[in-house]
Amino acid sequence: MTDLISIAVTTVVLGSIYGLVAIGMTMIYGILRVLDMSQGSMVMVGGFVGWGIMTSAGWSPIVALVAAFAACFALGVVTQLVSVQPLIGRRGVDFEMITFITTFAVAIVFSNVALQIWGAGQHPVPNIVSGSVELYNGVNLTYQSMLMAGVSIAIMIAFGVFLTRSRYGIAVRAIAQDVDAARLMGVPIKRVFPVVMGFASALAGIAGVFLAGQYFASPTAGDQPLLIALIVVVFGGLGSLPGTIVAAYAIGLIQASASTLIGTTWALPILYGVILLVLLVRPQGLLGRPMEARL
Amino acid sequence: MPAADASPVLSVRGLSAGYGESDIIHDVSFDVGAGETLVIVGPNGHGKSTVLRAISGLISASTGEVELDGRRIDGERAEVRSERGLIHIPQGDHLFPELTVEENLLMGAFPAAAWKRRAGELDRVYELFPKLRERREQHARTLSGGERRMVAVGRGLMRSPRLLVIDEPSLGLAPVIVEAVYETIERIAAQGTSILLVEENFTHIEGVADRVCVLEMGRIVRSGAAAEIAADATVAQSYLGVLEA
Amino acid sequence: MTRRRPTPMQATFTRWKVSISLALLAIAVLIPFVYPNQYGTGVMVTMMILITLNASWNFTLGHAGVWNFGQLALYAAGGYGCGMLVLHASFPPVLALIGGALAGAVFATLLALPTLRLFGIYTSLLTFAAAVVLQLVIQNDDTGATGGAFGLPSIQGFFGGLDPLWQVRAWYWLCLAIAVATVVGLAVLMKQPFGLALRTLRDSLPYGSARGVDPRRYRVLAFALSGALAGLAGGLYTLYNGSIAPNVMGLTPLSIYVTMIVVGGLGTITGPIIGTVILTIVQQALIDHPGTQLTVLGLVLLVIVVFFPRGIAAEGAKVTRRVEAWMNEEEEVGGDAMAPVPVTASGRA
Repeated sequence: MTDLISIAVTTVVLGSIYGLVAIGMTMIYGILRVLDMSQGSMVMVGGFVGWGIMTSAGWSPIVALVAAFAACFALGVVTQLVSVQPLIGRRGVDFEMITFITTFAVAIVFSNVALQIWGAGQHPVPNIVSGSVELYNGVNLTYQSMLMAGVSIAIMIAFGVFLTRSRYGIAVRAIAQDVDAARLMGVPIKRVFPVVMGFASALAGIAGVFLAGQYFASPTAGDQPLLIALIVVVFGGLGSLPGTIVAAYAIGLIQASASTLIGTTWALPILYGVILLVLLVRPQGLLGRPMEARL
Repeated sequence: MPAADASPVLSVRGLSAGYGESDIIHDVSFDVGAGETLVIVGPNGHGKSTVLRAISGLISASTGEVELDGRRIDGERAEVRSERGLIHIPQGDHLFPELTVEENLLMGAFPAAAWKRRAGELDRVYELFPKLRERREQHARTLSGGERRMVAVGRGLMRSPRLLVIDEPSLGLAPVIVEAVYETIERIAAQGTSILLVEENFTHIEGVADRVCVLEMGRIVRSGAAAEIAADATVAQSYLGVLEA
Repeated sequence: MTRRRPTPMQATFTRWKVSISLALLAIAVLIPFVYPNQYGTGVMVTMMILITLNASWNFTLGHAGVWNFGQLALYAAGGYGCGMLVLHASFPPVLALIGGALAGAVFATLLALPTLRLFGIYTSLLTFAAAVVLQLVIQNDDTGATGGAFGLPSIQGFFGGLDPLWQVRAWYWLCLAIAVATVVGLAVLMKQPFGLALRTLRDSLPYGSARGVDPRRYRVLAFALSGALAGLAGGLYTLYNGSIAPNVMGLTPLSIYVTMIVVGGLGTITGPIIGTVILTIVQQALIDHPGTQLTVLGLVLLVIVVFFPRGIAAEGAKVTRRVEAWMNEEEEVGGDAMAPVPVTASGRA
């Protein structure tokens, strides 16, 4: 029973954070057809912004969240302009593979610049709120976890409302389905593309502040979130938002059960094992639509 | 019928355009008056769609002038022409398959000015197409061919167009559905919207056309009031085959 | 003008290309004498091993167009296979090397099978995940077979009887020979029906399938061959260094090798050589500033890909074609003895 409750709690917390990083990635893929490998760097940068503002400057966590959002938004826009925009419509290249590689290059640059500036060490970031509540017989839920899950879920809901109700939200989904028709409707796609990547990066930056409170800020802090976001995105079916959110919690559940029941070292191998199995059975991901027969 | 007494909504002078090196249409000129419906009739492959694409800016013309409400638009990009109120409904509809009917319609009102009036425009479109109101929450990919055409036309109406440009509204639809589509076009015209549309023959257009141009080999060979053209013996032979049978 | 037969000039040009390649090869063979430094030769040994690895990877990633990001698992399979055969089964190094290549081929086949139903990015994730799983399994292995996180130490390789400088030279020539054989062999293979079929499937799966090319069989065969070569490279790595550890896999080496292949030119014959040589030089130039190494590498990758998305080799080929066209034009203007063009009073004295 203790195990079950602690698994449930961890699932919700992990799943919410993964969802926050992964919806950005899935949105970028759906709209730009880019699997953005620089999203991990945004988590890392968010962590350092949190460290700089809360630990070094001693300012309020709210400032840290806002600053992480702004900084990562700007970095995301720059990344799009530098590594994706020049390749749109280029002939004779596989756009998906080549942008996969350019955003990967950006990620290499970001994490090594961070390494140069802040060193390889782990920088502690305080929790935004302290304290915890005992749920059941030794299972504690920290307020930090509660806040993380709460804020992540709130952001995801707000994002869902934006996509289904607002003018640009609907336009963003329209672009993902038919770029040419969206242009006929007058949607300025050249401006929307960088904004989409900036916004997704900003979400990753917020996740970075939370994760740094849980672990540390460090130049490699984005690697594991990136891998997990990739898994979540592919698991959920690339470009499918509901699929991504379901997958985020599913992955959270697998990881929580594996580390609680078997041990933390084996959590990742088991996770990857499950992914291998899922892809073997459903090559298009959980909620992805199967590719039509190519002939 | 309102004739050319007022200044025309659309004025095309000496338009030539095509793909790559060679022109497909040559020296095409015509006006569409306010509230008027002009139909370009001609065999397939003779350049009807090319005329529309050159007017809406999807391809650039090699020579000629296009004026909308007395303003030159032939140098503008397609997006700008669309914001000025020239709405092109292309062949194949180009709906957004995973958006609902209502979201597809709302995309028609994307420009900021139209977005503010979206509620009223939605009502107007739903009045024209009561069926779309029933299906407003349905994804566009689940619609029938006729319903898709209705969404495409409705989406064009969402930004209160100055001129509605429709490419073969009858294409690929069952005759009964075509009739329904044309009834709606008639109603749209009756509300005072100027319309330019192309069709392969006279079969469906008699209720809507004020004037008709005949396009052959990329040139306009006849033009005049709809009744007059339909009465013409040579035109009748080429394009009224259905009626003779 | 009628279509011209291959002219003497063109034949000369091809001969010229061959002679350049041979000259470069001669330089490569002789360089240990010109540059008689043990450290530098050692760097070149590693470079040759990487050329073999990158050529094998380029075969699936570039030529076959399969998003394979699990090549380092095959490299490690070869390296560990070879090392374990020497340490645990007392195999002679040559046999262990062959065993490593076989291990690479077997792993590659196992890796290829599940990718058959996937496309694009899904393939990359699956292959990458497989490599991560292998790395984690080795790291967490406490049976002693792989040495866990510390790896396998003290593996006896070749040329143990030679003095250190000649030993590294001998290694260099061995690895050079294998790298050249790999690149030339793959180049020849790409001109064979097998290579043509692979390229057809990459460019258009439906077209290839409609022409009766079975995508599954070709993909598995391509992976097996690529895996054998990667395994061979891994075995060479283990025997040359005398050890192998799980850090041969992972994100950092992966990013370096991908950069080499992409900068050189995905799906080109000379790309892996060009990219590996250039980035080895860049890395060596920055050896005193280890912190900036990867940053520069990332920037090089970004800039090259944005400006030349098809890599340096493809750009080079464009230049070569232009030179070729220019030479043929020259010939046309000047006229040769065979041409029935009347020689007019031109500016040529």
